[in-house]
Amino acid sequence: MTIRLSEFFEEDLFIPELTSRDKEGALKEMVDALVKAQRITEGDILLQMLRQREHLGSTGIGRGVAVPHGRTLAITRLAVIFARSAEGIEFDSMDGKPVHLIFLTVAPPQERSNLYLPVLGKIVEMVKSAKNRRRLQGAKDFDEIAEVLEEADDGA
Amino acid sequence: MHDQLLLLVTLQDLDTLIRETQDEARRTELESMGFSMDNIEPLHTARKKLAGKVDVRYLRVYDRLLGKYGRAVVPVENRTCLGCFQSVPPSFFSEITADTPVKVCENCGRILYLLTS
Repeated sequence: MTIRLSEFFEEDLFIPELTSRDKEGALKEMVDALVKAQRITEGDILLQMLRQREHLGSTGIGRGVAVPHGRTLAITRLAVIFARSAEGIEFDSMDGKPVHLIFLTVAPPQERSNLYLPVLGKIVEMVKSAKNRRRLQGAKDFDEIAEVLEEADDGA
Repeated sequence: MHDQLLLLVTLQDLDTLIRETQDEARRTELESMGFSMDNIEPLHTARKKLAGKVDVRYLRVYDRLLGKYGRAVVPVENRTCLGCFQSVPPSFFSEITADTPVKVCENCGRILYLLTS
């Protein structure tokens, strides 16, 4: 299955600069973006699931990146919310460093297309590149973000 | 949404997460991506606490369905129960309000959750 990450990122689910400075606030801000975009109505259900997932182990995978994720009945289809923090957010990451790029990925449990794990894997793969991370952090708008994703999709 | 249904949906999400930690293949795949999944105990503690808030009548139904199907709460989407994929009768929609207590699929018996977005 060929996954093109650029197809899963949306402008209304992009937060250029988080106002929160901690993990709980960042997750809430990102869930609120989903509610605002009318992708979910019960934000608290999703937030609770994300908190439980973080209890299981931090989704801060190092290199300034976190990929909080999970399955919830609160959503109808897979969504990726991308947020940035120039200052950095304490996320209990594996390398102990604050995160600057957060990719919240949520899917319904009954998702039949089975895109959830491949999309997660693709995000993790994409941010292994220091160049991609740098460009995502420095992008001025969503168009530039989309450009980075498309180039990563094309293997550039 | 009725508070009991809200609790049951939250419980189902938590059980989905717990099940993910028990699925060796899925766990290995997530760990290979760099995600930590070591701290399982707090999930069981949270489950116990959450289950304690659910009305015993509903919890009994939930646990029975979970054992039988693996998923006790399923969404209704496009007027279809996503558990058995049978149509949900129009009466379900006319009767459902914020005060509606837990309702089940007439065909499979699973607890229904109406997706509104």
